[in-house]
Amino acid sequence: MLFNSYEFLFGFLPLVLIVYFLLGRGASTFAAIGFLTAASFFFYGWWNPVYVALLAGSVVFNYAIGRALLARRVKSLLALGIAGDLVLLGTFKYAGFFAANLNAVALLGLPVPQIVLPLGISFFTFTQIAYLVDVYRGEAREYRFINYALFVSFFPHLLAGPVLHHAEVMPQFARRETFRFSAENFAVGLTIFAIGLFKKVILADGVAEFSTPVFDAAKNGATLTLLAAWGGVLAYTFQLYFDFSGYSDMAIGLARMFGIVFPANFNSPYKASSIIDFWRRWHMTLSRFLRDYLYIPLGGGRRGAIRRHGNLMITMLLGGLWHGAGWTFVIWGGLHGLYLVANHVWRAARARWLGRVNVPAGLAVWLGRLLTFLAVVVAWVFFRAETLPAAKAILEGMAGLNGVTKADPYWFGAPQLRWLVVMFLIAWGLPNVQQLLHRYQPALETYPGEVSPPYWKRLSWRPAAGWSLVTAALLLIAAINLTRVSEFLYYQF
Amino acid sequence: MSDAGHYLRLVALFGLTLVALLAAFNLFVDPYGNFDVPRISGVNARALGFNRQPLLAKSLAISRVQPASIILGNSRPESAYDPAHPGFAARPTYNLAVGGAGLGQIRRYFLEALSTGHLRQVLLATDLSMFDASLQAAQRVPEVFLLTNDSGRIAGAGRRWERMAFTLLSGTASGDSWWSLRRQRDAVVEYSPSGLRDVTEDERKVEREGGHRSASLLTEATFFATNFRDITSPRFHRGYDKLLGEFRELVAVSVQRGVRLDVVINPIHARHTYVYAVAGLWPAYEQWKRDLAAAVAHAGGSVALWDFSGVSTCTSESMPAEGDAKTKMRWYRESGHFRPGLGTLVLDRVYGLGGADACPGLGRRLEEATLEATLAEQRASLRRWVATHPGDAAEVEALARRYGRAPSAAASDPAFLPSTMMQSPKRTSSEVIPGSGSPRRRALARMTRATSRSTRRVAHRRLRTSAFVERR
Repeated sequence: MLFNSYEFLFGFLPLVLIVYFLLGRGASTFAAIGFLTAASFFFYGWWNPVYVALLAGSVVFNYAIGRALLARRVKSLLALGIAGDLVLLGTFKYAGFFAANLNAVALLGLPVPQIVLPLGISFFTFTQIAYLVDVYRGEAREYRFINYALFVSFFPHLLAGPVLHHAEVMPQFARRETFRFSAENFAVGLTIFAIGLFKKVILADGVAEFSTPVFDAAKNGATLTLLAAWGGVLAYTFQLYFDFSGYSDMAIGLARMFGIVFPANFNSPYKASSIIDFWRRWHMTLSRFLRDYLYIPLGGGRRGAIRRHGNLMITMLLGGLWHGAGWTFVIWGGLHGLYLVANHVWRAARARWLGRVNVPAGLAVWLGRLLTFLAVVVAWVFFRAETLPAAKAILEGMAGLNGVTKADPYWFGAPQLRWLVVMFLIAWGLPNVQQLLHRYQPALETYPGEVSPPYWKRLSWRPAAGWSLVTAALLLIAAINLTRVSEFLYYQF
Repeated sequence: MSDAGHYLRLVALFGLTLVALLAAFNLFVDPYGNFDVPRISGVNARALGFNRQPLLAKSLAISRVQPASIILGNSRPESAYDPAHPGFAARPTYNLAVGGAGLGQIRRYFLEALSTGHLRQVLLATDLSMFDASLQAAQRVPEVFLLTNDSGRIAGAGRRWERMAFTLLSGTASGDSWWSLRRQRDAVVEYSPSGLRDVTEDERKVEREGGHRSASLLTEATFFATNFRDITSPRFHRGYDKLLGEFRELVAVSVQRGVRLDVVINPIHARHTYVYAVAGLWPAYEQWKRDLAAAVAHAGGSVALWDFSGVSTCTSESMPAEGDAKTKMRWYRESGHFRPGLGTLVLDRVYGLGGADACPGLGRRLEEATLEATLAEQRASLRRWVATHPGDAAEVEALARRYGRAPSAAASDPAFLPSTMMQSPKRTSSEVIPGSGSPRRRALARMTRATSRSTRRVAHRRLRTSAFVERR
């Protein structure tokens, strides 16, 4: 079931909210938790009921391993749990990719399975791997199966994150007041949800009209000129951001309606002044996962610069592969690994040799922001292109190798230009959800230092008439455009 | 609680108010002419939403008009076959043709019209492009537009409300209302109450594009750029078989329900027929006619198949010279679209009301017994047209090369095409124009560049439209 669908908005969500809070009035929270878990499984099964068994099996397996780890913290048990998760993920997500590549390299003639990727498998697998590691480290414990099942399947984060830690969510479900309706929580959640829905339905789906034809054309062998190539890639740059950050906002808002505060997943990533900064702002819970469960266990930066750079490359290559079973994703991850290495090398070099050069702070930030943005945009070409030749065709167009003309059929002229300008203004000029609602703890992390420009303070959310009109308008505009239903981009990962 | 509770109540209040205002706005402007609301000149007198959502507007018209006769097809019949023609014995008549329609859409409209219980007569105006399986994805009718499901059964009471909600509250309808309101005093294409597209604006557009020849090149280039691109793929053939199955079903249901069905292959200009040949589609084109004839022959009942696409006095009408935007063709707007006058002649022939004298050679029944002879005769007549119109033929061939559609010998009828095309597919356009000197060469180069730019604009619109349609 999609958040941006009528059946979710006007059927599933209101019903689940009402029953949840009715059950939450009882003496025990068991019924409310049980109901929310069942509703979450129903939510998952709406897409394909067959895969409910897959989700349930994964939950049971990891719960059993977790219980065993709680009884006896041994590495072999942890390894068994992680291996089981990776086998599941590998079977459904990577089997075809590896078989095809082995066939290409070693001419093995292996059958290439055509498996429909279960929605959210990467997310619920990573969530559970993190849980097992946390249990092994003594940082998490869960004895009640129903609680664990809810932690994994809670529908706002089930399909595309944020990737949660047990320790940041389940203590909230242990509090009695979580199960009582709170107008403030609901108001904050509804506002965040409205912003997210608007981002997805109006901004992401709107700008997609200019990106999809370009990437499709590149896949079909078309020659793209400079404006068309840049126009398409910039459109995708914003489409992806508003799609995924919109989804994350909706997830955070929905959880908040149920009284649960989620971690933030985006913090205006296109305002990043370096690629290191970018990865602290983009898909933050995945970055956190890769840092805590891959980069640091590999040794992080503790064993010298060379090892750090190697670890960064490994982390980003695997991060790329996590996004999809394809060489374009691996190259995307590798490119970001190289960016990060270059960023670290630059920082070290600057500290050593350019320490006394004074560059005005504002200029440095904007130069860094521009360079980071361009690097990210170039990398998105590989992320979006379905084949390497398609990526090459787009990059050739961006490099101007096919000339410059406004008459390219894939450059859509003034309407596209208007869209891109608006996207830039929103991404670079407006506060994000955390900044708008900073007074009401919209997410687990807070960024008090970033709520500084005076006009942002004036925009700060308050439960007052002005914002209620804005929220109603955002909801209405998004809702009347839901007839153009489209899936979230991150559902495919 | 008080602040947040008050906030939530205000959100609900504002939300409901905005919903009511939006519904009232869309009802008042009524961009699809669906409601019986007061009409005010300059505000809502013209239902211009037909321009933006013809599929929705005509779907709504089926329920509103409950036609006894319908015209089905694409942009050609949309403006050329007048529902007021006396050949339509059963009234009211409605023109349900929609630009760019494929067989899938047409079948759904037919079933929708049939579900009203009034349908007695159908004119299905077809051509090869309606069987282009590569365009199927962009040719779906969104389910919310129709009151019947894919099998033609009434979809349930909920669908009527869903469509009403879409008409009054959707972003699409609101955008169309706003557009209709703003363009009331502008020169915009209009539709008659019987669904006929007024051609005044289309004719002006031809003038703006540089006259009939330039407009023809544009249409032909669009065909080369977008149609039948993957005809050799198994997927295409599966899609074609599906479309053919839908055609057979339409014929069978007509017979079963006692509806008179006349299937008409449109009178495209000889240039456009030559486009099929140059694109390597000739064998497929002939096979398509065989398939239609077989489907009709085995159906029984009052079903007839007519072919107006052969070379005749009308379909070989001379085109004004390049850049001549003043001289008017009698029968054609451009090679792919004929004018209402020719549409009337076609209807006269089909319904036995004359028409043969005004245009010798126009149209004939396609029947299995005489089909092969007819096809051979059409092949020969087109070959004669190529021989007598070398300039036209060369222009079409040049365009084909520009869009990578010059055929291989295996893909076409080798006896049909000029030997220059078969032997030298990489030659430039000017080389195949007999007697072309350098001024002519430069002029043609300019023209193909210009055509390319215009075509790109059209292709751009198509791309955006198809992306939109796919998402709905």
